[in-house]
Amino acid sequence: MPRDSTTLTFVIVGGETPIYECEIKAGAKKEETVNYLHEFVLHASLDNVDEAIWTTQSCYLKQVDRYYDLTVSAYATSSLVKFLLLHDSKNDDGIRSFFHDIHEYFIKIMLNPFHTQTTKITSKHFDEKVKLLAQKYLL
Amino acid sequence: MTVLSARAHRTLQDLQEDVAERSGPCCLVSCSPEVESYCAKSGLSLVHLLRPFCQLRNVNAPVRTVGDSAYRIQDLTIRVYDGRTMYQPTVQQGDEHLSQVMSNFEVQNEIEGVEAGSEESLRKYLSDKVERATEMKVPWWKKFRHEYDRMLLFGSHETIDLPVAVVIAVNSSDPDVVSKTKALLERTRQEHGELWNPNLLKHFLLVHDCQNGDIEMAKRQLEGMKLAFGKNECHMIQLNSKVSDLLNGTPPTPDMWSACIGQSLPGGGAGEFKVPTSGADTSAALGSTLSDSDINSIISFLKEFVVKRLIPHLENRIRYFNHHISSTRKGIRNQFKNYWFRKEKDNSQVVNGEPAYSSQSIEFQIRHLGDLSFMMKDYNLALSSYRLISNDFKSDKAWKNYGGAMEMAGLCIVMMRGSQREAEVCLDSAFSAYQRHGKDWKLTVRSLLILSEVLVASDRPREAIGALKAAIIDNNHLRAALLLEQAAYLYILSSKPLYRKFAFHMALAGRHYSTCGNHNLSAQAYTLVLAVHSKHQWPFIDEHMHLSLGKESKQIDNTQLALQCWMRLLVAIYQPSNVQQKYLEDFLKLAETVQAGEKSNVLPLLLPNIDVENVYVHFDDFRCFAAGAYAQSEQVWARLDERVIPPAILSGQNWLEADLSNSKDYLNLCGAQEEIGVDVEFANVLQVTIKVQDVHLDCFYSPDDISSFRSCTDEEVEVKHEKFTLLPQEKTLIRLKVSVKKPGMLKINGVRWLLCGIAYGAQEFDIMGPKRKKVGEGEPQRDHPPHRRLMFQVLPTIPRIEATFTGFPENMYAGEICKCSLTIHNVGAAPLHALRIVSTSNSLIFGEFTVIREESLLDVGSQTLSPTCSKGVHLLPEDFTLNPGMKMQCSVWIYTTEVGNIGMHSAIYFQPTHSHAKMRFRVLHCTQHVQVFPSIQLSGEMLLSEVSTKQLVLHTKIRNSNKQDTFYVKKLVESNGTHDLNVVGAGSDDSGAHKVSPNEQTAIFIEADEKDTVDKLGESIQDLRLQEDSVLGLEPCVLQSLKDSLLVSTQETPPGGMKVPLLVFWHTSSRVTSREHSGVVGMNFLMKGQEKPMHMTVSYPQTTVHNFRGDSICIIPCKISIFNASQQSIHGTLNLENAVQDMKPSWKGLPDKSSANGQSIVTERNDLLGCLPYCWCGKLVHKFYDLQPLETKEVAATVCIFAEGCYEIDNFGLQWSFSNTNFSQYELKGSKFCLSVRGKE
Repeated sequence: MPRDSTTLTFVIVGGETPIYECEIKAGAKKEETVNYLHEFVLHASLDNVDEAIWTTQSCYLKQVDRYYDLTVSAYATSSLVKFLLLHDSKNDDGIRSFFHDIHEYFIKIMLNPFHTQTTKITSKHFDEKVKLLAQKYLL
Repeated sequence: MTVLSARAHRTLQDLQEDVAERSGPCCLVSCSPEVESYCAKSGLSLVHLLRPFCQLRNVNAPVRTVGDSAYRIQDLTIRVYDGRTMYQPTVQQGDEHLSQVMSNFEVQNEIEGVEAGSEESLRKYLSDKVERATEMKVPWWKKFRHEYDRMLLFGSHETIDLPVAVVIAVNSSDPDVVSKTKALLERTRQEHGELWNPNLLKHFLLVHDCQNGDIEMAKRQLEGMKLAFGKNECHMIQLNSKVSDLLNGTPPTPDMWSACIGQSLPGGGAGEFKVPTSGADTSAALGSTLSDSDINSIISFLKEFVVKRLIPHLENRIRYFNHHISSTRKGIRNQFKNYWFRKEKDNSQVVNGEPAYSSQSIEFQIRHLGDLSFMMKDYNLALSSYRLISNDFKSDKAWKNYGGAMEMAGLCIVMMRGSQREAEVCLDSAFSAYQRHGKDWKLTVRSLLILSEVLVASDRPREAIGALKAAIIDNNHLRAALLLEQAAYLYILSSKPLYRKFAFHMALAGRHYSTCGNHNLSAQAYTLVLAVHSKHQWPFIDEHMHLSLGKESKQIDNTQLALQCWMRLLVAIYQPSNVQQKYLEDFLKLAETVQAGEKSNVLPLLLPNIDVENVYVHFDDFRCFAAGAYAQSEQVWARLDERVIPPAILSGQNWLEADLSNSKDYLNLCGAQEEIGVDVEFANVLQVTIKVQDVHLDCFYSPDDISSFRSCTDEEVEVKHEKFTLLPQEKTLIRLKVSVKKPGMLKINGVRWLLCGIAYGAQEFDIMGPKRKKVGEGEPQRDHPPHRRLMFQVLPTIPRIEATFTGFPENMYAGEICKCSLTIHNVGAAPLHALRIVSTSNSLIFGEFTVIREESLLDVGSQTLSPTCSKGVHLLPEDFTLNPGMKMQCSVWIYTTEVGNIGMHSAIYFQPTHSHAKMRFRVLHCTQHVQVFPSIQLSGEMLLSEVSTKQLVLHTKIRNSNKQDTFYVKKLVESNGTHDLNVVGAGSDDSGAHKVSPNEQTAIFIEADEKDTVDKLGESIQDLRLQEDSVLGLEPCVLQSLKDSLLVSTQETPPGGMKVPLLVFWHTSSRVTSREHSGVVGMNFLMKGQEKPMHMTVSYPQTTVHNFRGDSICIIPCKISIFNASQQSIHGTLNLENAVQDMKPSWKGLPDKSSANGQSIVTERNDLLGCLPYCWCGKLVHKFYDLQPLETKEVAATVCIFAEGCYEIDNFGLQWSFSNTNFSQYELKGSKFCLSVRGKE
């Protein structure tokens, strides 16, 4: 299983707004341009996600979009909150497990009755878990 | 080559029309210098003059090419070029030209209506455009597409741009026209050798200038020409016949020409002159000297030329080529020959590693046949020719030629409406052939553009996007930008518009535009991106786009837009402080130039961040608030107001009687010259310290009603200016103040400030609230509670008071009585009267008021007013008037039994002496806070004494709830003064006080005997000492209030119930305050009626001495008291059962409870003797009716004793029932009592 991604960015999108962002690996060239390029690619891929949701019954939507060597894999929960992962190497099984485990933690966050789909996730615990899972499956 | 119009959204038919239009037969025009000068009079050259009329409609000409059957051509467009311009510019020249065309394109108004930051506006803009499908979304793309194809005209590998006819134009003024024509023809042949071929159609045109010579003369010249060159080969057109007579006011000729004049290149070529129309009078409007008859002559010339000469000529050429090719290439024999011998043919010419075909070669001819038949709309023949030749090109590896042929084959299929798939395959192979050729990217791009257009026309925009993206192959940023932009638009054209993809591609396009220096287009692309991203809140995208758009706007000198963008950058919270500092500095620099210190030019700045949705308005309408009172809940004041405001003044103000038509629930009331405060929160989101100056409210004033608000002047409204510095990430709440000097209307619109001394900012308030249903002119859209309303009706000056408590204790014990003083000051400009004061739980008790006259230093003639108190409301005499500036003072006693941090709220009501219809009274709300420590708490129960119905036993539990201090209970008083109290058992210390240590509890029993005289409570309370050890000095009017307060915390007495109010006086030496405190705690002991509704006691002499010898019967009188402790009246029967009557012989057995229990207690001895020990005598059954609650009925009874001894008497009972219920009957047995009778010797 190749695990040599140089770019890994994970985003949770509720509605149209990113409610959680985590840059697991910034990419080889650490420049200012990278941040917004990644956001652009992820944001644009939401259009593909919207289409992919209706083509499969599973939550994991696999690779939904590419921009040159950057690939976006997506996962949609049943409440249509989307998990997006920007990566540049192929690691399908790892990403699937990563999304699946994140979903469990995400449900725990959503159990909070005051947490809406567009509330930003600021839990440090959640952040730690995401990084642990990324370490486990992606790096 | 075919020039496709670049309409991104169109039907297949549109595509076909455009292809046909742009692939018409090409004519070379050559004219004499005189003709040029004639044309120049109207600002044109001859080719430009002819071009608008070259699209011939409804020609309806029959054509027969190679097939047996003829068909008709309806529309035909011919292309006319000057021979000197018919060559292809170099790639570099072409690119330069394109970039210049694009940079000159005015795009300012193109995205009108799209605001950066509003997706709705973008969607509306785009959907409008998509709806009007015939219109271009971006005109510069149409222009680019047109110019791009023009740069590729006259390609060496294509024959479609080769001229098929030559038009020789000579002037009629020349005396020898024929020889001049011949000379010109010869010259043309020499000049354009490479374009020339002997089979060109030659046509001769005589041009007559009406301003120069006679028309008859010209006609004769034409006859001469016709004789020399043939009748059909010559034509005449006339020019400049329009008389420029200003007096006649002839209408100007409509401009048909400017659209047909292409932009010229520095190097010339591509169908246009190097310099535009040499010698033309540029000041004259195009075609201004041409009259309608001139134009008609041109049209008729072109029509006749096309129908009579060009079409037959092309038919001939097609037939000729077809015949020639059939004989050499078609048929089995030729095919084999071609297959075997082709390789051996010498392709002598090789250009760029690929074979070049001369005009004599069969390949050239086949290609030419294809192109000619394409012009003549015989697409079948064209397609077969292209297919035939493409195989040859392929086997020769002539990729460029192959690509060109396949491109045309693809177009043929499109024109024939053949299989879409086939057309795509052709265009695809054209693309790959050009790629193999590899030198000329422009051709590759063109094939992809055609492919994408075909895909769009067949409604497959997604695939078209793929084609467009594939066309981004070299480092030409302009082309990349345009292609990405088109791709972006195609995302919108998909069946389900993909706005995010649109935004992404638009952003990429903007970046490319920016790189190639086209800032206009770049700025508009970024604006569209921002329109999509407005509400999505992707922070980095937002920031980057604003930065990019800001930079581009600065480049195109749109500083206003740049400023808007930089303004957004001020909230880039993700950036480190140095970047934020830079953004701020750049912004300030920009703002300095744009605003130029002008105050009126304000920006909706986001720094400092203002909470425009939540403000708190402090103002005084009929309710005024002293400091700290705003923070209290609305309920507190509502309850106080209910008590303090007399109902009479409110009549007509309830919802039933109020005049609803005049109710303005969006207006607040306030008095003139009174201050209105608005609490606004300012937050600095950056990590940079900022200075905010000149912060003030933005107000509008209207002297009469809300429809005429205008900005206010200093004479009308006074606004206070604030300034402050915000540290990184700091938030602060500022109260901004405004006061109105004249009555009228005031509207607070928003807040304005000066950021860092440079940028003027403003924000409007947008207070949240439910939407109002009916909104009149000038009225707010939303409903707000009074403390959030920003519109005021300013009334004339009304009185206003200030209340100051002095000496209010910081802390006290529950039950303690403290004293302070209250000063009421009329600070308004009008007199007031009818003062009323009330406090929560009546915890504040107000004494006599003394009016303080400041002018008289001696306290002589000071007026004293005693408030009357009813239900806790202290009223001052109605006729007392407090004039402006006057003060009055009174003592206030504080008493509470609540524990903790207690808010003591009070409300002071007053009426203006001259009342205003809108404000007949005012209430001032004050709040004082005191820390109340716990002291002792009372609990317990009241028991009826068994001895007498006049005596009660109070079982009192005293609990010390304080954790530190020890309390001493000194004195117990019954506050009604109806009972004497007698403590059973002595106190716990020497002085008779009961000591209660922290957290301990003591129980004492108190006997309370009813007494006839009623004591005054006052004396007991006077004994209490204040903290300062001065005598409490209670005023008479205060006493009753205090008494109410003392017991107000205790349980309510049930109506008709019996209660004993007990006051317990205590003192302690506090460890917290290190002072002596003393106080009083009260409790109401209530009769527990439910458990035992009837109470019966007997009073009797305990010992009687009787001489039985003298009188054998001793009669002892008793008194039986029946007490009704229930809450209802009762009736019943008292039975004094006689032992004699009830005696039964069988009494020895088990005693019968109901009848004979009386005897069972009598001693055995008596029973044995068989004589009666005693009996009741006199009236034995007493009936009584309607014994009222707490009433006592006394019944006299007599007991007869026959022998000396001690008797236990118990055989009496009471049967009773409640008066209002008939059924249930209860029985109460009398309790035993002892009578002892001693014999007297």
